[in-house]
Amino acid sequence: MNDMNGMILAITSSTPRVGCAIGDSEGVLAVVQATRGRRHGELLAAQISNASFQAGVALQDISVVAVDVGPGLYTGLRVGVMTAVAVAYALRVPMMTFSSLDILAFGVRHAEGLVASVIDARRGEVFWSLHKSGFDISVAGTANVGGVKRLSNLAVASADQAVKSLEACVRSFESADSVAVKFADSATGYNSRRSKILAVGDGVCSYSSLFTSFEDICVASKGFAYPSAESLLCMASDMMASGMASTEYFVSPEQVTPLYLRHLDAKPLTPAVTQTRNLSNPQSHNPTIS
Amino acid sequence: MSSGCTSFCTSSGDLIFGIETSCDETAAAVVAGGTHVLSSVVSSQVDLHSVYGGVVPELAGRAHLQMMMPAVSQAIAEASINEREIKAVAATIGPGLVGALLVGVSAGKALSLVWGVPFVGVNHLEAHLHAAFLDNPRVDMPVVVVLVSGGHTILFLMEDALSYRVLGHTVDDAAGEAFDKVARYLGLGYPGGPAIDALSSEGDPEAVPFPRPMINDGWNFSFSGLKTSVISYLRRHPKVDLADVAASFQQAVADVLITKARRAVAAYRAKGICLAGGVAANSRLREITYKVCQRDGLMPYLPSRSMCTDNAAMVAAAGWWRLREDGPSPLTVGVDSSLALPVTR
Repeated sequence: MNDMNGMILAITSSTPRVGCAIGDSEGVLAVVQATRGRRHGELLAAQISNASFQAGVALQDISVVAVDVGPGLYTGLRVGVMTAVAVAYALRVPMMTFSSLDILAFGVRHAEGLVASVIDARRGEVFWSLHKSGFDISVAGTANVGGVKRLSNLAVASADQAVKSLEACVRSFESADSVAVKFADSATGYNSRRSKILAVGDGVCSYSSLFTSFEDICVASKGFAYPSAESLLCMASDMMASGMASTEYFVSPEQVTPLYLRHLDAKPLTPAVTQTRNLSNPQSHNPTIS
Repeated sequence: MSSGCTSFCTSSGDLIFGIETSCDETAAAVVAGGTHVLSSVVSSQVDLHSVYGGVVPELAGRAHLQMMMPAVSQAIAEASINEREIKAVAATIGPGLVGALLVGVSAGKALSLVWGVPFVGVNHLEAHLHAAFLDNPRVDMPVVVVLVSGGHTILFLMEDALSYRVLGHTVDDAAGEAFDKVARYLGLGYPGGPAIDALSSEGDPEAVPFPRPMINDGWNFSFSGLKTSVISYLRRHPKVDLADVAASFQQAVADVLITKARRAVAAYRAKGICLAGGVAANSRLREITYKVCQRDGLMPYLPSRSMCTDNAAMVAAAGWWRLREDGPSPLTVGVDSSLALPVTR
């Protein structure tokens, strides 16, 4: 079951892009993905079937299912997570989970310096995190997949607030006392003074004028705007080749849950509200989620 | 057993795995031959939603995702089968909440891919129908069906296993919706159907002469006015026995439904009356249906109470019929929040 050189099925669905890839430590054998929102439920199962055909790999030969657990758009995200969990359950194989923001940063892992992953969370908000590329990946037992390390938590904020936070990050990195800078410098010899942040993701595209108004942020092209199944597959493969114990990255299907990062908007009814309910406005207490 | 069919055709005892996630129940089941229930697991989210006074779509989606695979495992274990014996996976594709439906459909498609069996998308309304026939494999057609739930009130004629003619439907609230709203006003909480049913057992159904809207008027229904007259009666008579009000309201709903069903039986020379949907669990409605059928020499087709509310056994049963009739659904089939009953004419 824990075959280190096993065949991986990778599934990502947290943004308007939905897709899957099949491959192993030798590389990616097949990728099928589409960036056409609101059709995840229609496309994903057929994509898996097609990728299996293109790769010449029967689903029964898959030994790990890697999945993007968000953050992202809830309904699409659940299509990917549910599909991945059900496939892994039926195959009786372990899973690996990666965050959509980490997958985005991995996609631009050859960029020098800081990378901000920004995914459009709708309602004026973005999911974002800060990463640094250029770490040594040859050290056995490290989790610096692709040489990219996440420096911040996964966060949700208004687009304005996210840009302000990024500015603050740059300033703190410009300070020579910054522990993070010393750490970064020792790892790469990279001089982070006058650093630029490469901002990547559909959140950057949605609020491009906001992001480009700050001179230290440069914006990755739209081609990198969505987490790709190919990146996810490479991350899973790198992780398995890292020398870490498989118990550190394998999870069982029942442990997998999406990263929502936001609580429900719905407000519970209080007993008083129930009693004074006015029938002239029957919709007044119906909870809604946008 | 099924000579002359395509290779997709099911033979009579084939095991179908059913999945249902259209609203607030996460359900999985194994049914043999469209009628014999081997297992039926229903994980209800009622407690999660009751504090909000109704189903919260996003909460339902999150809960379905967590509850799906445990329900699948349990359904296979309780059926005492090997998953290799399963011949197809059926899942509800609508009508229902899109975010909820997608969870069940995603799981269903994934299982069908790995198990190497067809996927069948099932209409939730059609599934409710088949709930009534789970224990009655031989049905004398045509049958008049009263499909009553929180989202639907439809009167139709079933001329064959998969052939339906809609006669009428509600022009405003669904019958189950009226139950929920009256229950909420009475402070009985959500869901309202079982609460009103329980309270009614102590009340007099003739105590308050509530209106029977549109009872002699065509095939359609209207329950909004009835609900309003219950509320205004309660305002005018604050000291009334609530059990009497509940029983009288329930009686009014049942009267309208059954009066129209009987008229449809006469008009189309039907041989039986079938109840389907969540409101079919209502004691008074069941009692009256039995009485009427006995008196008129008709066959009553009433699902067991556990099969009235949303479950996956009815989905597996409808899936068995659909697979026989239409073959598998394409893997690219989508969900449809307002999917209509596949009407023949």
